[in-house]
Amino acid sequence: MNPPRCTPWEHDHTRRQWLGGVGGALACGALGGLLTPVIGEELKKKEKQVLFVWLDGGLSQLESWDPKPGTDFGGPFRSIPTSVPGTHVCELMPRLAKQMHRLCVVRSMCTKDNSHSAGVARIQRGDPKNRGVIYPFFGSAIAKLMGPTASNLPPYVWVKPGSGGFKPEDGGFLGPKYGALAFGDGKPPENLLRPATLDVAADAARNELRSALNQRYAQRRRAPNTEASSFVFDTAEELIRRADIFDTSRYNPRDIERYGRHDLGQQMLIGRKMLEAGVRFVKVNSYGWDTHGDNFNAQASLVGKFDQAFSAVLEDLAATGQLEHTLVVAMSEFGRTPRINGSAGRDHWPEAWSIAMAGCGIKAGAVVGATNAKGTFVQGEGYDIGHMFHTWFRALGIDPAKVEYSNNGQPLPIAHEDMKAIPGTLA
Amino acid sequence: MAEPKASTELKEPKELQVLANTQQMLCARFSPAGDVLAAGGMDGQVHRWKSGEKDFTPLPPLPARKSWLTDLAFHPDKPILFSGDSWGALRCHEGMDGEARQVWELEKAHEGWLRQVAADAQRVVSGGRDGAVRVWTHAGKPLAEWKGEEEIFCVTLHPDGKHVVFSDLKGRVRVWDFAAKKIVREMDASFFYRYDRIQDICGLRRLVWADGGKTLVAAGCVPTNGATMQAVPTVQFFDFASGKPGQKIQHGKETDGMIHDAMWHPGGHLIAVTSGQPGTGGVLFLRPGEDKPFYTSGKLANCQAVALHAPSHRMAVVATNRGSNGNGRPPGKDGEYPNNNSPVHVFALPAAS
Repeated sequence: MNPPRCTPWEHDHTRRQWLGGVGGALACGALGGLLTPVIGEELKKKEKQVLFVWLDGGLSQLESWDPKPGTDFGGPFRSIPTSVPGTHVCELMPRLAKQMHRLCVVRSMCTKDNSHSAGVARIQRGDPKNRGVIYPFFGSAIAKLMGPTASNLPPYVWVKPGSGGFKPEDGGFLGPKYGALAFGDGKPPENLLRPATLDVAADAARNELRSALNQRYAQRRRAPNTEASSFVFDTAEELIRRADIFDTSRYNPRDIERYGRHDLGQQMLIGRKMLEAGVRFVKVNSYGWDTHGDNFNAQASLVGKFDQAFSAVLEDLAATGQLEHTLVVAMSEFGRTPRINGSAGRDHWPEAWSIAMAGCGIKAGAVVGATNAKGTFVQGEGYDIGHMFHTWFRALGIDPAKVEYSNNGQPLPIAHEDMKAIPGTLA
Repeated sequence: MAEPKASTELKEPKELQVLANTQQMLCARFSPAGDVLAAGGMDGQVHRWKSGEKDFTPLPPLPARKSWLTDLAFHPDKPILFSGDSWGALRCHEGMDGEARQVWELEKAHEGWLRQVAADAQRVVSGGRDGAVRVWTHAGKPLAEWKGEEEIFCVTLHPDGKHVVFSDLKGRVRVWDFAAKKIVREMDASFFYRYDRIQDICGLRRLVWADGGKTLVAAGCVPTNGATMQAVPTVQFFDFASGKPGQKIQHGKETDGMIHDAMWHPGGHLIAVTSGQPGTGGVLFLRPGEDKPFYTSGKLANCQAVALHAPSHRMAVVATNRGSNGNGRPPGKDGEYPNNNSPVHVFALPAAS
């Protein structure tokens, strides 16, 4: 087993100190690529975590968080009251309506990309100013800024439908080490678990040999790739020990029903188990939200399942007290057009959409921002994804004004420097 | 309404008039006499047009609702209209050929989206997302109810007046003897259903009677993909007495989408309208025993509904304006965000059809 890695909170240097040369002699690697890692011991104790629910393709804000019944583009559904007096959501979310007192909804998102190809990555990377580098996804950023929890499980895990494996590209300029370990269809990467024919001692001997070979190999190769490789193996070892996390046969049958037997429900439940086990950042992904056709029947089916799974995880995190130190976010790359196309669908609409959050550092029961009466545009100030990154970092106790990345010595802000946290969203 | 002279000379439908409007429509039906065309949709209104010597002219619409108007059904003999909406209300209006007035309203006929309405000379039937099928008197009194787990998409009354036939999200077609309160037969149309990723997709959208009720026609699509809705327009014939499936006709590509509405022409063929990806869609005339439509037209985009008045050889197709889609579309010149609309195309049909 490798010695514990250098984590950001073990360093308490200010940027001024660093630039003044105190840290000059320290290799970037010693600071894990952070110029000013000011995250302290307190944060480590609380083991702050993140659940990031990604509805790929674009959840319709009008059929979820920002209903406009009875208006030109309002669609066929009614709105229903929630546990927050005066706040309504779409009737497709009856369970989440009861969780509204735990949620904070931003209804005034106004972002730039209206294509998936650009939007998915730009949104999840926080769309910072162009610095000539590829920024990390939010999960990778947290893996870098906060590292694994004391559980030493992988810091960034992605539970998703389809294929799994290690996704180094999420790490951007931080390097492949900060990529996502993806559990395709909620299952661990192929060959991760120790085969029954291999006993613990033999496995340990093999790992020792691998480690030695890795070190020799690393001396002649670029560090980021070999570091990533070793890192994945190390964290995989922990996962092997915690195989119960993704052994759904051991789950409470009642939970399986509560979350829903569909992919999103089951993968949300696995996500919760990962959080309980101590994974720092869990992304739960659902595909198929790009409802250009038959939007209303589609949303009725999709949002119903989201309502079931997301409300169940909120309930459980709240019941165990874990919500207090877990930031929960549910979002897509954009919303959907108010205008209904000829195929009874809604197209891509970054101009005015909604994001829901809960938990750690987030003001519960808040609705921030608004769209106009028809839901076509934001009324008042619109917020970009950079604002959200500031909000989330601050909710986790990371001050974007003080913490910076280091790209081989080049200081880079962790969030768009022209933006700030959204007023009214933080507790 | 005067018999159109041109109809006997026509070889295919001829467009007579386009009834422009500013809203998107989802349903349309002719009154029994064919003198009124009623249509409704996303603005919650029933729009009406009265036929004249040459043209249809607008009548005042019925008062707007906040919900979508989802389906319409006329009394088979009288200018009485039954309509359902997406918030679960069922209404009855009489005098549809003149000063229409609402006779009754059941605000909670269903819990949420009422999808379809059908009527015969004695009863009205409705089905909705709440999984319920309900039979009502013409006075709006409940007669019978069937409740299931899945959403109901289609309902129709058999011409024998004894059976209601309905289909659910997953393509199960049930024949219900509503007086005896029992399901007497089921028909398997489950190929109209697909589960894609986490989306349940219902492809069966309209049930139509042919041959005086001997044949049930199930129309819609076989979905191949959710979200963007890839689907092939499909029709399945069933023998009503045995429930056995007969001919299945699929026509078009995956981008052609689904049959949204269909009506049986007494000349012996089905008239169906389709809507696929924005800009696609059209009109199909299908004859049992033939493997392809004998008439197709792709001139109209995204057709949502069709109304037929066979005695006067009139057909009305609710289509959608071109260029109806677009990501992140900017406001129009007036600064307003433009909506789409549904031009209603009125056709004369060949007498033979």
